[in-house]
Amino acid sequence: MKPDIKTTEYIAKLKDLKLSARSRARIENNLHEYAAFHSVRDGVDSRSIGVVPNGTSLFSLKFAYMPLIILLVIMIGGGTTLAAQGAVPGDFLYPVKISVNENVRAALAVNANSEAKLQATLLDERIKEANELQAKESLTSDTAALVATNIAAQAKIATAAATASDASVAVETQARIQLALQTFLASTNLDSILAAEISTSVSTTMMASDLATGLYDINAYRADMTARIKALAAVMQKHQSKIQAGTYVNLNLKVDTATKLTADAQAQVEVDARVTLDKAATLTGEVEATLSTLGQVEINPNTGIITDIDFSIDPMIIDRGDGSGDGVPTDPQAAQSGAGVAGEVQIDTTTKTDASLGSEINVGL
Amino acid sequence: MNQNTQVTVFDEAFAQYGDAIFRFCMVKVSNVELAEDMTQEVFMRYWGYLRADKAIENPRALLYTIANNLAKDWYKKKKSDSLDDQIALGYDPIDKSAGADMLAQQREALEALGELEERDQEVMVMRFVEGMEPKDIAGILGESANAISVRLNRATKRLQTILHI
Repeated sequence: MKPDIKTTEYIAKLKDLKLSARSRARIENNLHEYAAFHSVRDGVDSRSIGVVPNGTSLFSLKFAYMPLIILLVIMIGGGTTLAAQGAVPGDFLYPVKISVNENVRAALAVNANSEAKLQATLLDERIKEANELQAKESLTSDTAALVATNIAAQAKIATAAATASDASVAVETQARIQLALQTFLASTNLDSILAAEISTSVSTTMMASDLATGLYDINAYRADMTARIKALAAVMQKHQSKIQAGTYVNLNLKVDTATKLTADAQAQVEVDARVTLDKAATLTGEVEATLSTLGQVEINPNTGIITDIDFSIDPMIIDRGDGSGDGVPTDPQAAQSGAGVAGEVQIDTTTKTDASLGSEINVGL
Repeated sequence: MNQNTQVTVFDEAFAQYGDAIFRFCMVKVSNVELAEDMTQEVFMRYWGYLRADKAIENPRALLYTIANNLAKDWYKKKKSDSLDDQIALGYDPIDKSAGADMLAQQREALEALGELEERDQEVMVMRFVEGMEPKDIAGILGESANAISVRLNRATKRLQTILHI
C-alpha cells in the first residue's frame, strides 16, 4: 500500500491550492451584488431557480415568427415614431415626437457639445413647426400659445446646453440660436401678444446666454441697454397721447429708473455694473411687455429693440369677426378665440396695474 | 425567510466551500482565471436555490453537483472550439500568472491529475483533497458507493503509473 499512500499524498498537495485573497474578495463582492440584485423578495415564484422560462427572450422564439415580429416592430415602433417626426403642435402624434423621438435623440447625444448642437437643432424644429402652422393658417390661439411656450422653453434649454459646451461650440451654437430666434421673430405673424412673449423670453435668454459665455462684453451690454432704453423712451414720447395717462406715468417711471441705473453702471466695476444693468433690463422688459399689449410693436430683428408701435392695431382685438376690428382678416375660429381673450383682458385693464397686465394676458391665453 | 438570513447562509457557504469548489474547478479547467469565474458562477446558481427557498439538505453536495454540471458544459464548449481559437483568446492550459499563487508541487499534481480521465479526476480530488467519504461522493455523482470505491482504486493505480512510483 505504500505506493498508494505516496500517490494520494501527491494529490493531497492540492489542499493548499486556494483562492488568492484578492480573487476571494472580488468574487465575494460580485456574489453580494448578485444576491442583492436578484433579491429574495422577487424570487419566491417558480421562475427563480435559475431556469429561464421559454419564450421570455425574443431570440428563443421560433424562426417562423421572425418576419411577423419584424413587421410588428416596424409598424408599432418605427412606423409611429417615423410618422410622429413630421407632427406639429395639435397633431395626434405630436406628444410622441416630443416625448419619445426627441428623448431618444437626447439620450444618444453623449457629450456637452453634441447635446448643445442637438438642442439647437430641436429649437430649429420648434420654429419650423411654428412656421408650418402659420403657412397652413391653422394657428388657433391654443396652439399659438403652445408654440410660443415651446419655442421659449426650447430656447432656454438650448442656451443652457450651449453654455455648458466648449467655448468654440458655445459661440457657434449661441450665434445659431440667436439667428434662428431673430429670423423667427422678424418673419412671424403670430398675434403680437405671443410675439411679445417670445421676444421677452428670447431677449432675456439671449442676454443671459451672452453673459454666461462671456460673449457679451460689459461695454456692449451697457451700450445695448442705453440704446434699448433710448428707443423705448422715444417710442413712448411719440405716442404719449395714445397711452392712458396713469399707464404712461407708471411706464415712464420705469424707463427713468432704467435710464438712471444704466448711467450708474458707467461708474461701477464690472461685477456691480452687470447686476445694475440686469435690473435695468428687467424694468425695460416690463415696459416692453406692457407696450406690446397696447399696440402692434415693431421690433428690429437685428437688435431686438422695439422701434415703434402701431396703436391702430389693438393686439387685444385682433379681429372681432363683425368687421369692427381693424386688424388683418383672420379665419373665423381665430377671430372667435381672439374676441374671447379680448373681453377677458379688457376687464382686467380697469382693475390691474400695468405691470401685472402682461402676465395676466399670458394666463388668460 | 428574508434576504438577510439567506445572504448569511450564502456567505457561510462561500467561506466554507469556496476554496474546495475552486480546487475542483482547477482540476477541471487547469486555468486559474477560468476556475475563479466558474467558482463564482457555481455560487451564483447556488443563490438561485437559496432565494427560491428550496430546502437544501446538503449544501456541499449541491455545490459540487452544480460545479460538475458547469464543467461538463465547459468541456462541451471546449471541444467545439478549435485549439487556435483558444490560443487566440489567451487560453493557457496551466496558467502561470493569474490570481492564486500556485506552488510548483501543486502544478505538478494538477498536471498529473490532468493525465487521468475526467471521471477519475473528480473522484480523486473529492476523496484525497477534500477528504470526502466514498458514500458522499456517490451521493453527489449519483452512483453507488461501491462503484466509487472501485473507481478510486483504479485511478490510484493509473496515477502511480503516470508518476512512476
